[in-house]
Amino acid sequence: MAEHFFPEELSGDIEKFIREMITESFGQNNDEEGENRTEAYELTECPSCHYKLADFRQTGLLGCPDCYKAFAAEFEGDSEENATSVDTPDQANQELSIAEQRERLERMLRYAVQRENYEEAARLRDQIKSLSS
Amino acid sequence: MMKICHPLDLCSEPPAFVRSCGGSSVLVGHNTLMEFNLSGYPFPGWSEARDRRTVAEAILPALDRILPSDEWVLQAEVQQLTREERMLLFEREQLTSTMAAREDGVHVLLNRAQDTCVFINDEEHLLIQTYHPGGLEDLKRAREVALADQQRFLKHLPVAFNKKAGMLFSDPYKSGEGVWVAALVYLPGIMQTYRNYDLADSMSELGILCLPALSHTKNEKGDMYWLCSPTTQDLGDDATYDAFFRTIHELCDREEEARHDIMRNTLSLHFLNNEMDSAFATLTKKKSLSYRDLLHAFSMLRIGLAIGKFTTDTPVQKVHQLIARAYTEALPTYLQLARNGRTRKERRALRASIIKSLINDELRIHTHSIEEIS
Ligand SMILES: [Zn+2]
Repeated sequence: MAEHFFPEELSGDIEKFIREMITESFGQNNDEEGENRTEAYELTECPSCHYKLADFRQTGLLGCPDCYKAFAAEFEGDSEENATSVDTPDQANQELSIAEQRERLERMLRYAVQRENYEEAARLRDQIKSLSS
Repeated sequence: MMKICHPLDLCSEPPAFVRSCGGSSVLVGHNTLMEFNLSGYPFPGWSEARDRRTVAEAILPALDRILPSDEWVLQAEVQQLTREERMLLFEREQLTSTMAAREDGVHVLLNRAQDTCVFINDEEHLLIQTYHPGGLEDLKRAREVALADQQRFLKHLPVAFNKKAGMLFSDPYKSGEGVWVAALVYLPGIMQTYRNYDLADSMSELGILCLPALSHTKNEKGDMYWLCSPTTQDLGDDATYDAFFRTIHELCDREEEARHDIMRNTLSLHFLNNEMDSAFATLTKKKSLSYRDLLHAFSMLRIGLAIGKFTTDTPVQKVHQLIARAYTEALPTYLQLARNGRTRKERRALRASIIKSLINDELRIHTHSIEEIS
């Protein structure tokens, strides 16, 4: 039934499509963030225990008490995101960087696919594409 | 330093939290949990054996100074315990699954009353868990006591702490005060009245972790639950605790109401009566009894005793004691080690015969018809 609404790319392998879309944007995201990072942002590994920031992002766990300092920027990022989430979408879009907009759209895309709302998913995907060009 | 009674010797007594279950009140007791890490060492999940040993060597003497060591009946490095002994402790909720699996440098201490467990190098460097029977007022007091104990440890050990986050933990969302309380609630009324009610789900919306007590798999659901207070974001965050206490209070009221409703509503009383009859048959007639079925049947037995469906000449206190003992003697690993139940089939048969003699010979329970109780 819902297959009528499948855009071509989606009807094949939705999972793969989403994964590629996300990997693609995440790669770019990281590069853009890199330019604006403060010193704390540059730490991708805790100097005391050698635990990696990537591992924290994956497991949600830290390696040692010093990780709190090493990855401080990671926690501060959380509150910034919360602060913008109360704005209306249009206001928020103006203030959000391209990377942030893309992240937001990706979240909406994942949500749309979860709800099997493929029309919405296709629209969001086009929006994500237009951001990249 | 090591003091190991055979973990099987502990089984002559059920753990403290089981001893106080079976009462008819709703909030039967609570655990206080105090956790911290030492600064300068990796958290246990990211540490090597060498680090864990160093951490244990630092913590054990401090523990000795603060908590009297002659109280410990079990003080062991987990490595020294056999796989079955670890399972036995795990089923009695005296060892965590993380600890049972981890290699050296992991220690467990247990006191004579079996109401205090100390875990070194579990999820965090130190966890002290103490059980207290009692209601809401005791729950509030217990938290104050745990906070005072925490201060004594801070004087002796370099605890990982920063002003912004508070006590530092491997999971940053746990960081804060470092003290939790977990209320043990007995909810047969709610569980009977709202069959599809997902307590864990609705509690998690309030930030309260809800775990079934005395059950070790998803399917083993009884009517006893641990409700763990949310993490306090700031030190001295009393609002979080007030909200938690309010929730527990509300849940107790709902449970009392549900129990009354069952008695007032003829239909649900009929339904419950059938369930109690079939539970009684399970306990007294079956030749094979799974632990999961036992949890359900015991729950029915306890409701039945509370509403007069079942009666016995045995004094109430003694009834509770015997039921508590039966809970722990029916645990799979206990049956394997103490009763030589090698296969699941043998263990189920042993469980059935233990329970049958409890009900018929020790408790000598009489059952009554619905007309007699309503
Ligand atoms: Zn670290």
